[in-house]
Amino acid sequence: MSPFNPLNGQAHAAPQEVLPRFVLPSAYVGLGGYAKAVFPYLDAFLQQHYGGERLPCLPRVLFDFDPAPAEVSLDGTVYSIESYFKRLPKKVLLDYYRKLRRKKTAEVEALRCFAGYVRLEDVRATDAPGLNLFMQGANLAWRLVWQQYVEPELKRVLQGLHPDPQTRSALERQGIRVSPRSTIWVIAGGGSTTGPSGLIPALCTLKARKPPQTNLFAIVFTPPCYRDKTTHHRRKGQAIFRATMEQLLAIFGGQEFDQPYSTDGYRISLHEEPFDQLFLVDGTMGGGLRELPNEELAQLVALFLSKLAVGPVGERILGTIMGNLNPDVQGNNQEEEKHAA
Amino acid sequence: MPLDEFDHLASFSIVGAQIPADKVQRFLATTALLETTETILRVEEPQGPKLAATREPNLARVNYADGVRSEVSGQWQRITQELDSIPSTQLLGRLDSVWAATEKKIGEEVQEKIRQLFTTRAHSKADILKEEASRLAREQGLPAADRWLEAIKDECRRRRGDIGREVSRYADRKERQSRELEKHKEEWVQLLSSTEVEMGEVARRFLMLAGGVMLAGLVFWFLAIPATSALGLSLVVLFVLLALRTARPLFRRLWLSNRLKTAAVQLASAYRALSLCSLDEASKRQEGDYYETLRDTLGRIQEACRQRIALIEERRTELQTRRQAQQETLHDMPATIRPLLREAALDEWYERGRAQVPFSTWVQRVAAFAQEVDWAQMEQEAREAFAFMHAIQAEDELVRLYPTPEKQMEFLESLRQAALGVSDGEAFLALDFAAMQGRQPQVHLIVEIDDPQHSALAAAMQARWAGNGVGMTVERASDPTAITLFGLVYGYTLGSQRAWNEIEAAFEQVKKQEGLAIYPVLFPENGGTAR
Repeated sequence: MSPFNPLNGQAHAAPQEVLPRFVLPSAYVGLGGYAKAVFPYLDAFLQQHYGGERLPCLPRVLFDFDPAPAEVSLDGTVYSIESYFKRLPKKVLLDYYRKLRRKKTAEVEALRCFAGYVRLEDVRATDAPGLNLFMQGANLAWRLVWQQYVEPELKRVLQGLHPDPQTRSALERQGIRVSPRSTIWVIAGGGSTTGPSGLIPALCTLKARKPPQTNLFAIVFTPPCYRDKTTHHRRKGQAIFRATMEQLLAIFGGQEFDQPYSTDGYRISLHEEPFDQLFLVDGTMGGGLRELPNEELAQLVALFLSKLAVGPVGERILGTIMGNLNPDVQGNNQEEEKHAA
Repeated sequence: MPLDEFDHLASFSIVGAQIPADKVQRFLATTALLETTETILRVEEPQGPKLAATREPNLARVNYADGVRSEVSGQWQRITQELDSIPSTQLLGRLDSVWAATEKKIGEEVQEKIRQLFTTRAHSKADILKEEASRLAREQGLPAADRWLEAIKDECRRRRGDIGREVSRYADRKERQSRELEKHKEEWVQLLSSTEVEMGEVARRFLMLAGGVMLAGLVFWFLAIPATSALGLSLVVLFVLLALRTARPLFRRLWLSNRLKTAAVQLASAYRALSLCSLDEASKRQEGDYYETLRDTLGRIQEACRQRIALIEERRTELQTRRQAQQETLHDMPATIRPLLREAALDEWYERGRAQVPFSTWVQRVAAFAQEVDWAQMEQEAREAFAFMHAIQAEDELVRLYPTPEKQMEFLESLRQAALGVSDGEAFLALDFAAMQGRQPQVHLIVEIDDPQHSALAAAMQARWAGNGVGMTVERASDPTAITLFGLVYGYTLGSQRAWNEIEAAFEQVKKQEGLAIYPVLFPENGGTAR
């Protein structure tokens, strides 16, 4: 189509060069129900842009203790999270919870390694889906499933983040230019249970293991997003969000994080912030004049993430704006200390 | 770190205007496919040829009829030419043997061959009619082809009826000829029997007559009676009369010889006529079966045609439903994205893409009801025909929607306000500026537009918005059909979130009830690991 000057109705003087397709390698880690709302749209936007193809340098993983699936149907195509949705088992938590309640000393003793990391006396769990606002239950649950279910997936998405030369060449043959930079996005809801309880371990691990030239961002849905919840749920959610921020900032302030627990884990001592930017969204527009329903907000978050991955604007934001904001961010300066049992 | 000092917080917003290129592409592709199905299903009065006007696969019927008929006819011709040389008493036997030979020729074996010939011919003819039906389907629609096939079937039925009546007439004719033959046979036999004359008796009578003449001559000589006397003359007359009477069978035999020739010819002709009549009847009977076979085959073709009609009707319904659904969702966009879609533009784009759509090939494929339709390929081709949608610039459409620069900027201002808030700093997060203790968040606006170096809108936005306390970047869009504004707000504190007081109050209350249990992550109290 001939370029068109909207002001004078004439064709542009200079013909426009063809813009090669582009990808900013990005890993997306979702935690809990809000991420579950975002990811199907993210799938849809990315796949629509790349003609139905799922690029290996855009790995995704979604963790939730609630096994409910999620999908959206756009233009007759159904986009589902099923292929990368990791349902975290609650059974192990429930087993320990029952032992704790029966005070079976021998079995409970095995849990003593969590003391200091989890308030075992406050652990609660129910058979209902999800973690149900019991933060110590969630705290224990993540630690119980971490090594078997979570950590391998995080490693996998980080491996896919930087395509190997063959994959890079294959993409370039398809006319897709691969950016040398990359980003990791962790999406979580701040006022429920799975997101906040998984956010800190996930950020610390990703920060510790991320490759150089990679920025780590978190998007957290703040409690005002919980418009459809009960008053009790909202109040608890507000408290959880505030508590999460406090612990996150404690790491930011130099606190060390043991992953997943001391006796058989390792310590992550971050000498810098555990993320480059923490994006907060509450789903309002115009300073609260309009409130976006969660579905629409999830769609917009997905659109934002996809736009950053598929166009040069992502590099621009990372290189110019975020780079100026966080000049110290220079890649892999994390320190990882392995503890022997 | 105190919460109030932590400022690595950001928020974003995304707003824009976009041509729903993908949706429009699918919608127009569906429209094109729907148009194809409607074209092929349109109802028209068929303008097809009559059965007799259609091409014949070959001349097998004529050739065969001529071949067999001339062979049978030749055998009769030969015996007719040899009639003179055949003794009359053997003629009937010879004719019967020729009859047996010809009957054998037009017997079961030959009739089976005729049947196969007509079946093959019926199938060949059906193929021709199928091609004709496909042509009609292409030119006049499948319903017209169906009706034409029905008309041809009717014509076959009529022709079958006509031939049935002809066959019955053949039977009458054959019976009549058979009677004629019997009659000729009887006549022949009678004729032969009447020619049995005792030649010895004729000779004996001649000898007696000759003896009488000699005796009368001797008496006349002895009595010296002159022959010219009255008595002599009377006696001569008497002898002449007796001689004539005695020679009469000889004359009769001469006459019968000519009659036999004629009767033999008539007899042979009767045999020949009956034989050929049998052949013609058998051939006609098979011709009737030919129309029956052709009708059956046409029935199967018509069934395939109707199945194709049903398939396309089903497809049309599915496409109508799909198109309706696509039309209803054409304007569906994320909440902050304004669709750029004029009503007239749809028609323009459809006409543009329609020129690329291989309609005639599609109609040809769909009309060929003997072949499966590759709908997936057609869908792919339809989408390719409208692939230009992804190259249409959002700026062009925006200008067409808002023709004056003032209206354009008014629209863009509304986008900017949605991206950054009324007071420049609120993206998808409401902030309480009063709680920021004099600190202002940093605000950056990124405009993603196609071809920013030559874009008049980009120039206008930069002229209006840059250097206004808000950082601004214009970036080239990855998708020319969209103009996107990204709002980035960063550097605010947690406490500047609107309703932060409620959050703090809730936290204090819950912490009072649950203590450390409210924290999602706990650190060991001594700062080290709990071993």
